[in-house]
Amino acid sequence: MSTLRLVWELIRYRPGRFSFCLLMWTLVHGSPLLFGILIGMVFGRLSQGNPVAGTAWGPAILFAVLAIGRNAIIWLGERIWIKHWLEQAVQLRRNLLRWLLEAPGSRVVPLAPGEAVSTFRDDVDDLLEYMENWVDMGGLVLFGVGAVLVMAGIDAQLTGLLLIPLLLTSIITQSLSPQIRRRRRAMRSATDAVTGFIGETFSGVQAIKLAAAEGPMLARLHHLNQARHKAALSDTFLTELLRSINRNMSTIAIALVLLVAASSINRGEFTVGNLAVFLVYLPRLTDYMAFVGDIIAQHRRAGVAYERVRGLAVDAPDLELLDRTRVPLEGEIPEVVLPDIGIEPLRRLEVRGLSHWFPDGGEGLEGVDLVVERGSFTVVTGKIGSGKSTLVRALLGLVPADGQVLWNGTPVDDPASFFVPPRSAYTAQVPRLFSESLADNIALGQRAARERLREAVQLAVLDPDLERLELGMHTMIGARGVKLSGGQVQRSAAARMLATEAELLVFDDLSSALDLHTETELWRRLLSQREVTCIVVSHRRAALQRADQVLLLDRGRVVDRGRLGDLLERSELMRSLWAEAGEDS
Amino acid sequence: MTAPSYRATLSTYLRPHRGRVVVLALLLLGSIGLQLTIPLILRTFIDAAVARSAVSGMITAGVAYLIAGILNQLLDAGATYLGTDIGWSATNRLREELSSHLFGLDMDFHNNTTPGEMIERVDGDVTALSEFISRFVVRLIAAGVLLAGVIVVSWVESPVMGSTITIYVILVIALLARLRNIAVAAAEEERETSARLYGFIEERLAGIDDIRALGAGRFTMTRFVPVMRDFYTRTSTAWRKRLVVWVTANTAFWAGDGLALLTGVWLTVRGSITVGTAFLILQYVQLVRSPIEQMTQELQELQKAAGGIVRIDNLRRLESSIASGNVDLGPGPLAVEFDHVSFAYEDRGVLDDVSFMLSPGRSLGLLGRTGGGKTTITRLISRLYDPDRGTVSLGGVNLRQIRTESLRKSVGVVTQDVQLFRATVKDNLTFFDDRPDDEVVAALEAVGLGAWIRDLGLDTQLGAGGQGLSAGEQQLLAFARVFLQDPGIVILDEPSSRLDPATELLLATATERLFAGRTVLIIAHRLETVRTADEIMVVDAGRIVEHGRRQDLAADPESRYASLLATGRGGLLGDTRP
Repeated sequence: MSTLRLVWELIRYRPGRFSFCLLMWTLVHGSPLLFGILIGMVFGRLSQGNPVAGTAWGPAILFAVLAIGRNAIIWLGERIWIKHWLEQAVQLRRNLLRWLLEAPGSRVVPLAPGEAVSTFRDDVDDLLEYMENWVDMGGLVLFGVGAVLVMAGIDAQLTGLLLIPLLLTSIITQSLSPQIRRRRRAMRSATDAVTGFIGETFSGVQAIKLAAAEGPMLARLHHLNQARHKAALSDTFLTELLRSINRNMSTIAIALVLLVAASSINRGEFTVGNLAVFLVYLPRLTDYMAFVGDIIAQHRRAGVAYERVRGLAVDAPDLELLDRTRVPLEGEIPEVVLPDIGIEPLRRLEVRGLSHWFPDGGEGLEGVDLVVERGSFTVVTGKIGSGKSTLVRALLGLVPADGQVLWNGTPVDDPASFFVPPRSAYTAQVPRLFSESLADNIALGQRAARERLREAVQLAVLDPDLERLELGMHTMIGARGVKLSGGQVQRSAAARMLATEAELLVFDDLSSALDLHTETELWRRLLSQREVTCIVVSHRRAALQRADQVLLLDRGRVVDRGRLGDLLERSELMRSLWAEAGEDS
Repeated sequence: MTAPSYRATLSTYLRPHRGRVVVLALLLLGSIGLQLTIPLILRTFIDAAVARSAVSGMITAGVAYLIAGILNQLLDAGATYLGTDIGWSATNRLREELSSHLFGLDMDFHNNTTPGEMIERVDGDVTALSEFISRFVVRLIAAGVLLAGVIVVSWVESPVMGSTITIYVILVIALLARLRNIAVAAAEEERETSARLYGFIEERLAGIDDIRALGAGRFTMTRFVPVMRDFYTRTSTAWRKRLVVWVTANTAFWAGDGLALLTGVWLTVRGSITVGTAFLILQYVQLVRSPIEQMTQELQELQKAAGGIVRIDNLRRLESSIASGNVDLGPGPLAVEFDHVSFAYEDRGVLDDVSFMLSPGRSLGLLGRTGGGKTTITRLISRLYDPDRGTVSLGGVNLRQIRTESLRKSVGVVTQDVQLFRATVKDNLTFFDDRPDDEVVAALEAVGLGAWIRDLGLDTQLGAGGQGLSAGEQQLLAFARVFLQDPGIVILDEPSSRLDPATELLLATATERLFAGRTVLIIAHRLETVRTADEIMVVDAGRIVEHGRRQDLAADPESRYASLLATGRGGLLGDTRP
């Protein structure tokens, strides 16, 4: 989508409001055209001495009134604009997040979350800032063209001469402003490096003391400080350079007027009133030209910003990202109504030729076949990096994969949106919790799950941890609340999955959450309680011993499958894994 | 914050840069002089134009205008650049001094502060101070001088003009000073609410698999609504408040222009000033805009900096209770001895009259319930704390007499949580010290990460908090650190979480190598770990309840160790940290 088309789509969000702002700002930016003429009249009349000088009162009073009154327009225009900008800012961010979390299809966020957030923040702001230029544009053009015409009416030749420094201003700004932004970003990242280092240093202060490493750590801080100092200077240098150039262009333009006009003033062809008009217009005109130069640079930047937004949601249609449905900023927040997907109970899950390749060429998954019967317990095992996690993630549609998955013999079109509760639930190897109450984290908004909360907590052996938390299930966790240990996070995630009462449970390695005893207990309780179908990634004996079938992976392929006993008999790999698992018990 | 302490702070940090400060002052004065002169040149020109005097005079004025204008820009840009330079030089030094001071403070202090607070103190407050230096000195003083200059020149020109401009300046400053406060509180709220918005997004993106696989997308988006509302409401409130400030200031400024024009007309019509001077009034009123804006704005910064200076001062007054001795420890394994040691953290008693002796080169497994005092024993050996009673000695020397740096170099510690930095593998191992690559590689080889590092290279960047590394790899890196340190005593706090079997195996081998030829203390969570220890000590409720040779204890059916062995994993082994 071209940048212009993009702007058009953004403007169409609320065309009425946008037009109103455009009108207001055209008045605001255009009115100095009138101010120049009025001031020119004042000084033209004053310079003719009395009695003509007395008629200067009229334009002077009119100027004062207009100059003050103009602020009312600024106020009105900007108030509406704030609303417009922020609504759209919220909406664009909502659209992007909604696509990532809710849209069908497999999705891998190509950036680290921290970096992705900067797209949510900076790139969306860049787009809106660019759109803001279009509100100012009308007034800028009105003033620019008007001022040049008025000046040309006074002295066409002189005005032609003045266009040179004015255009230079625009060109120089256009070429320097991307560099200034770059340096400002460099400054920001140098600052982040310093603050990040200070933060890390003091969160690891014990390790530093214990290693007597204070000296080198300070040397490092010194190094980072210097880098930041340099970045700050480089930023200041360029900013000041540009500012100086632009101011100097204005100085040069005015000096040109003074020098060229001197003889025509002497001849009486150029009046003091005319001079005043030039003196009022020229500084403002240079500022506007610099602004226009900046807009041209921003045009490119907006294109890049949108590219980055697209990069985060590669498969999203443009209109989805620019969706104009309003965010409910007032009134009741609509309750989540989960669509009641009348599901067909699982009888048999079949996987045919499941393959996945990592974009960086890392070993993926090749042609995995698998049949899981209702009520069975399947363990996927293998060495580290053999593709165990990739297998379950591909099966659930969390990463894009080739091959077919069949639920009771019916092919699943979009595993990503199909494999959700109550059909299936999943616990990742490194599960994530959110800054909400523990109860909300476990129930994840499902009303039915709320009732099963206690039970799930017990099943996941999370109850001893709960006793230690003052507010129990209502404890806020995460950045602003209690920090849970790694084990507690995994147990909570297990509870979260169990609370869904899904037909198919997929566990990716619970071993760091639960000790052997608790794990055995979990399997016992879970399996005795109801009929569940489990796919478990594990290398622990507690799981292997319980398996109806074991799937042995090596380098992304299934090298063997069957009952544990048979595998132990015929597979060297299985024996070595089993022996290693023994070390653990 | 009083004026003298501002002066004291200023002079402390600016003294080393005295030369540059003087240059800065000269640049500023030059620029101010030119700013006052330029409108006067225009006035001369206009008056010449009104009189239709000789062209040469006007040309001279035009050239003077050009030179003064360009020179002014150069001086101004130079002053800004130099001010920035001085500000950063001065405050970077302060950041380093402050960090160094904070490193020296006790763990009690660090346990009560978050890294976020430290960032606020070491960077936030110091940056405010930098703003204070570069702005207060450069801008505020310069703005004041410029304002004074305008007023003086105006009075010289005409008392009416002088009094008009003076009254105008006073009124506008008073108005703006009142307004500024409105925007500040709102701006802070805005920062907080936007941090919440992006925090929400970041968390959800990190957990995108969890959300999608659990079908919680719709729920998450519903949860996003109040966050967005909050962001919208507070941000628009903040922006509207700022708008009020902006529009009011702008109205005052344009009213100033109107006032200047009317005054000019009045005085010219009365014949008391020339047309050129009427234009001068307009120019001067426009000239005072930016210094007035700066003055009101900088006064705010001044408040912020004042808070910062006070907080920094308070930090610098804190002192460590752990005074370094002056004895240096020799190389090789050292004996560890506790002699009637008692210790309490702030209010909670932990060790109660503990005495034991561990001969050089022997290994000791510490067992016992979480919170029983195992970790505290090891912390006293590293002298993170001093005992309340009794003495701890290493190699027969009381800890209090040992130079802290020498002590810390002689005691290598592997904690449960491995602290890794967002830096290269090498920097992580050496704590940014400059060590030869082959030493670092040798340490990695020793812990079995040889192949790993040959694959990745020493310059591989690690994520914050060891992101991208498995728990096992993190442990092994911690081992490698200790190898590099080559201490006589090793303390290992075994990780409670379980690792995959392959890594466990690597760790076991690395542990064996690490322990060879050193005195070793292991805080064990699994009996497996202490199977090779020479001695076992069981600690409970701050007392040693059992201590002896491992074989002896294992053979004695009455011993706690033996009963632990029998039950496999007894209640004595807590698997969580306090």
